[in-house]
Formats: sequence, structure tokens, C-alpha cells
Amino acid sequence: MSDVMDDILKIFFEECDELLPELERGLSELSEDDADPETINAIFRAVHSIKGGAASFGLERLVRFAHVYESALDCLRSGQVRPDSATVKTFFIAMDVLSDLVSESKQTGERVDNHRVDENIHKLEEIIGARPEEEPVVELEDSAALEGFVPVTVDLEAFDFDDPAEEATPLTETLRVSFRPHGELYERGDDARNLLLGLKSLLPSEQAAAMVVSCQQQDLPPLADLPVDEGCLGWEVHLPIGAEGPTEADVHNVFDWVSDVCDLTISRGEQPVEDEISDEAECVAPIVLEPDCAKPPKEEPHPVQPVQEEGPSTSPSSKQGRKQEQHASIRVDTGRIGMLMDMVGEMVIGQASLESALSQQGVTQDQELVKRLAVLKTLTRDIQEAVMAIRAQPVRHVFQRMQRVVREGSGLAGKDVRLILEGEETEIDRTLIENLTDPLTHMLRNAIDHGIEDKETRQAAGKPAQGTIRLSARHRSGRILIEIQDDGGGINSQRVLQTAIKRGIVSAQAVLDEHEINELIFAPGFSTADAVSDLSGRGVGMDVVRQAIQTLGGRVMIKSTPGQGTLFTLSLPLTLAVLDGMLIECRGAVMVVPVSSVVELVTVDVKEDIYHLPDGSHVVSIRTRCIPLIYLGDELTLPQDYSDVTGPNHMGRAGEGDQLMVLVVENEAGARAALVVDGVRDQAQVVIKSIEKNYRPIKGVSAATILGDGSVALILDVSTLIVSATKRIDTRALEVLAEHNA
Amino acid sequence: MVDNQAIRVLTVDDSRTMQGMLRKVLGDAGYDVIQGGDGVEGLEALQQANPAPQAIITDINMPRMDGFQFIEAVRGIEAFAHLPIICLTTEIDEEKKQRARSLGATGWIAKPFSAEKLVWAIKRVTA
Repeated sequence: MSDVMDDILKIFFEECDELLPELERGLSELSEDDADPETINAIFRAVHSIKGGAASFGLERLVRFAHVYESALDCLRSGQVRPDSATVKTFFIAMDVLSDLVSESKQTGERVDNHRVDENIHKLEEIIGARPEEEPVVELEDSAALEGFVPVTVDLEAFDFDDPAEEATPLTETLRVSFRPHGELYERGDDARNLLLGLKSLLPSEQAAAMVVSCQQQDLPPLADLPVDEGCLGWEVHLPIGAEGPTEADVHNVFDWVSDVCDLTISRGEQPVEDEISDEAECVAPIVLEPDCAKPPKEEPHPVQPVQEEGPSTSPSSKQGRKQEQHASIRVDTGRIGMLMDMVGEMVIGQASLESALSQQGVTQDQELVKRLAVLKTLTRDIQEAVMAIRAQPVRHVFQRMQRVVREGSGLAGKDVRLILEGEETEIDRTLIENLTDPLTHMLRNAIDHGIEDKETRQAAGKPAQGTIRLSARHRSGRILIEIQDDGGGINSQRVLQTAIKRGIVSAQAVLDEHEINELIFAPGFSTADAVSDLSGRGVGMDVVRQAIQTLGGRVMIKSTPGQGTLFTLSLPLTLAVLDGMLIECRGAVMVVPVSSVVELVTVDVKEDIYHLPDGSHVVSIRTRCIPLIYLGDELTLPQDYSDVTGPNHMGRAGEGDQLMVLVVENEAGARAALVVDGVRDQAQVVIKSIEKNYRPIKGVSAATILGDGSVALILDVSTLIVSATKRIDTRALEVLAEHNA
Repeated sequence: MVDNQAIRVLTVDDSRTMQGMLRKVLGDAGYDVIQGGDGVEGLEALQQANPAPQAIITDINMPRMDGFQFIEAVRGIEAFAHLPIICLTTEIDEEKKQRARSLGATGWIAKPFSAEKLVWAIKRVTA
């Protein structure tokens, strides 16, 4: 196959990747009972297009399946079949098979089991067969169509337009073709001339001149009576028959499109005899049909009137209205967008370095310069946002794939589970989207396997037999929150703890609260399933999920209510590329705190506002609320500095009334901590550079960045800092303190 | 292959695969191919094209404006009342063929098509 054909095949598979989610979306709408005809049409078209493309490439297995699927959907489209839940379920499963067959054809997936294909074809045929009995004809036609449907591989290489003409053979007989076009033939954009040329093309070129054409004008009325919309001319053609034909069938072929608008008679005869023709025709001449010299007389047909109830004037204009909402789009290689994003990152750094160089030169007093720099800054930010918007995609693509995960998972586990999607339009960087599939798949399988109880247990607990999992996405303070909530039995803390002890993850003496116990499921090597199930027991645990999410700069949180279900929350950054940061100083080092997590910057009095707790930790009281205090320098074990104020020892040195600057930060769960900092330098956009890739993971640090002066600064992982600070503190002490303060 | 003398053909099909095939087959045969992704785009392309196409190949099953509506709309434009329109579709239903005919379709080719058949069809209407 040529390169061009390879390219077209690639386009076909790309198209399949677009059509399959469309099919899934359509089926989802169908299952929710709000399917309008346009949805059903879209479903039909998706399968139809896949079949059409597959047929062009001779992908027989795919064609065979898609054809039956299409026929079944056609019954739905024509209203012969109702979209009841069983039917929709069959369509869903058929979609999975279709999708796997596409993967098989793409050679990215394994070969789909024949039995599975046949079984599903059978189910689809049952749908087709379930149509009302009074229309057996349609059914016959359909099965005939199936048998008659032979995929044709287009071999473009083999196709040669300059096929050498056949050797001339002696003439013996002729085919006498006489035809008379009706006016309608011309209305359809056809022409008697086309037919004459079509007949001529049946002959080898050497014999084309031997074709004899005569025009029959005897029915031509006087000019005054000439009807403008009727065909008045007839044609008689004598075709010499050689060893290679032409046959009667060839002639019928030429008239294939016009058989209903043209009187045609074909008979076998001898070479035309001169006077035989002259009897009925006024002009007899072997004419050579060349594009411009042999134009037969042609009646002027009248313009076609719009006949259907859906007139062309209304339908195109109403569609035009819809068209305006749609934007033209082009396809761009994601690699190029990635490159663009990298360059924007470098531009942000470059602009920062320009700014810093200018300020070192002391020219920042120049108002004009400052103004222009501000313009540049705005532009940089706009460009960066625009590029990010290009990379952003709705989470819908991943979410809809989860329908299949739940469908298959619930089938395997023998449970009835419904997946509800919310916030599918929430946009998120495509790199994140690509990496979300696996963790989400795993968490959903877990939810089905361990979360949702079996039917009997559910009914005994007074819950509906069908389990529900809600998968939602939304923006919150510069991040994306993805929640997976099941209405199952919740996490059995005692069982988790026992398992953890058995696996040696915690000691038998450990005293843990409910939340800490639940966190144990993220521990490496933890699995509560007594028997490894087919579904979630695939050798990876929740630790892998957490790892994957952390690699994306995200976090996983868990909340379980016994008897009511479990809520997993994934918090992810909007992008992996750039963030708005507050540049703080601590022991001589500059660090970045994401602006999205900063609550406020306050100055506190060391003596008045800071409390030492018996366990050695500290809290600060800010407007009667006690917040764990983090001495950043100590927390990150930064080397001591003579100007240090960010360690607790400093308080020993500090005099009475000494002030500390604290930055109050908050994580997605709403937990707060106060970071003791030496100062705040600036607020800037920083480009995120992975520290794990370039160095190694550091606790409390999520990434690094390059500042305007070329130095490297660490980006703080605020959430980890808050969690570790909160853990050290007995929360009951905080409550007591709060009451005291109040 | 494409020069000023080349015959211009408009193809209307929502499948990008099909668009690619048509571009390849017709392009190789020396035709100047312009394309639309559905009836609406096809109509736009038809009205904007200069020189105007000498034949149209259209799919039937398309979003927004299907082949039937498209044929009807083209026939409603005086300048294109007799422009040859060939339906290229997997529909094999005689009733649908008849409907296309009555709306003014010139011919019908079943998908999957062979390059030979398609080029024959174009030659058939543009000779």
C-alpha cells in the first residue's frame, strides 16, 4: 500500500477515535431517555462511518460487525425498535466489541475472540429480528444486503487509466440501441450526449469510429409547439460487437442511472443497412464524438421546482444559524503544542530575567520603560493563557471511557452499578487527561469490587439494589477536583487495621484514628481482598494510584462514612507548566508558594500569639483561630543562617514584642497552617520544572523553577506541609485553645 | 496533474477517511477536487468555488444537512439546476435511490467504491 493510502488509513483510525466517543455519548444520552432524533442519527452515523471507512480498506471483520450493528441501529432510527434498557445495553456492549475490533485492525489491540463477535452479532440480529412481523420484506432485504455486502479493497496502484485498448476484432454483428430521453433526464443534470459517449466508451478506441449514430427527429413538433420540458429527440446507435463485447448488459450499465427516465430498446442486428435507417431517420452519419463538435440537439429543460415539504430555502438557512455557533478547527500535532508551551515557559523566564537585569541597572525609575515592560508582561501572560487554553480539553473524554470500565466491572463482579458523570465539560490540561485514565480506572474498579455491596446486603440495609458511583469534576481555587463517590458500605476500618497489622505496615500497638486507618489503604503492598479478584486485583494497589496522582502534582484524599459510602477526592493542578507563585525568603533562600494556596500574610507577636504545646509543636492564634505553625527553615532543614528568624530557637533570642511574619496557607480540604518566613519578595509567574526528573523527590517540595536572575527556587508543596504539621498536633488541644481564646 | 484545464469536482462527505480516498482517487485521475464535510459546507463550497465544479459527488448520511437536502438545495439554485450530482453511499435501499432521483440526483454509486467505477462515473457525466 502506498504512503498516501497509509496516511488515509491513519486518518480512518483517527476518525474512529473520534467517532467511538461520540457513539458512547449518544448511547449514554439514549440510556438517560433524553434521546432526540438527532442523537439517534449521530449514533447511527458513527457506526455507519466506521463501516464505510473499514470497507474501503477491506477490514472484513470490522465491516461485518459494523454492518449488523448499523442495521440494528437503523431499526432504532426508523422507530421499529424501542430504546429500552436491554436494547441500549446490547448497543453498549456492541460498542465495546466494535471498539476492540478497531483496535484489532489498528494492530494495537489483541485479536477479538470470534466467539465474542458472533455472540454479539447474534444479539444485534435479535434486535433486528424483534421488529414488528408485518414487515417481513424489509427483513429479507436486510439479510440479502448482508450477504451481498462484499468489501472491496481499492487497489489504487493497480489502477491504470492508460489501459491499452484491446486489439481490434473483425466485425460480425451489431447491437442496435435506440433510446429516447424524457425531459426528466435533463433535469437530473444528465444529457443524451453523456449516454452516447458512454456507449462509445464500450468500444475499443480503434473501433469507436465504427459506431453509427442517428438522430430521430420525427417527433419533433414545429417550433411554436415545442414543449420546453419534454424530450422530443430519439437516438439510434449501432454498436459493432467484437469478441470482447460489448454485451447487452454493458449497454444496460450505461443506462443504469436513467432507466426510469429514458425509453430504451436493445436488439441484435447486422451492420446497419443504409436505406433501412433512412426510412425513419432524416440524418444518418457515422459521427465522431469529440467534446465540441458532436453536440446533439438538446431540449431546454425547465428549472427544477422544490417539491418536498422540507424546502431548500428553509432547511439550509436554519442550519446556517447553527453553523455560526461552530468554529472552524484545524488539527495540530500535540508535539507542536508541547513545544509551544515549552517556549512560552522560556519566554516567561526570559521576561523575568529582563526585568531583573533592568532593576539591577537601576533603570526601573524610567516611567516609560516600566510602562512598556508592563505591556510585555501582560502579553506574555495572555500568550501563556492562550496556549494553555489550546492544551485544555474537557475531562469528558476520560470520563466517558469510565462508563465502559463500570459496565465491564459490574458485569464481572455480578453487581448492578450505575455511573453518574458530572462536570464533564470541566477543562484540564491534556497531559493530565492522558495520565488520569489509569488511576481513575483502578479507583472505579475498586469502588465496584470493594465499595458497592452485593445486592442482598444492599437490600438488607434498605438501599436500592442498584449501586451508584458518582464521578465528578470541578474547578476549585486554581485546581481541579475530581471526586469518586460510591454509595457502598464505606471502609471497614477494623478490617483495614487488621490487614495492615498482618502485613506489617503498622505495629499491633499503634493507636490510629479512623482517618489514619483509612489512609492505610494507600500504603504499598496493602490489599484487603481475601481472594485476589478478577476486577481490581491486578497486582497494583491504591499506592500506585496515589503515586500516579502525585506525579501529576496532585493528591488523593479519602473520606468514608460506614454504611453510606466512600468519597475519594483527587486534587490536580490545572496545568503542569506554569503557576502563579509568591516568592518568599527563608534563611537566605528564595522559595515559591503557589498563590492559589495563600490565604493571608500577617505579622504576629511572638509573645502574645504563639503557643507552645506539650508535644513540642507550636500553634499561632490568628483572630481567635489556632493554626499549626511551621518553622519553614527547620521543616525543610535548611542550613542555619546568622540572620535566622525562622527556627523556634529564634524566639529564645528574640526580645519582647518581637514580630514574626507568617504566611497563612490552606489546602483543598480547607486545612490551614502558618509558615514562618523571613520576608516576601515578589509575586510572579513561574515555570514548573520537575525536581524529581532533575534531582530527586524532596519532602515538602513539589517542583522547582528558574527565577529571573537565573537562580533555582523550590516550589513548596503546601498540602504536604500542612498535613505533616497537623499530624504532630493533638487537635483536641487546639479546640481547648480556641475555647480559651474565645 | 492538476492544471487550469482540470475538471473540478466537489465531493461532500462527513467521513475524513472518505474525503482522503476521494481526494486520492480523483486527484490521481487528474481532477481538481474541492471538498465539503456536510451538506452545509458543500453548499458553501459550491457557491464560493471559482471556477464552479462540473460535477458533485455526495454522501447521503451526513450531519447537519444530509445528502437529500443537499441535492434539493443545489437543484434549487438556478446556476446548478443541471449540474451532475452523483450519490456515493452505502445506502442500497431502492426507495432511497428513488427519492434521490426524484430530487434530481444524476447517478448512484455504492460504497465501498472502486476507483475505476468512480472515475467512470465522473467521466460519464463530465465528458
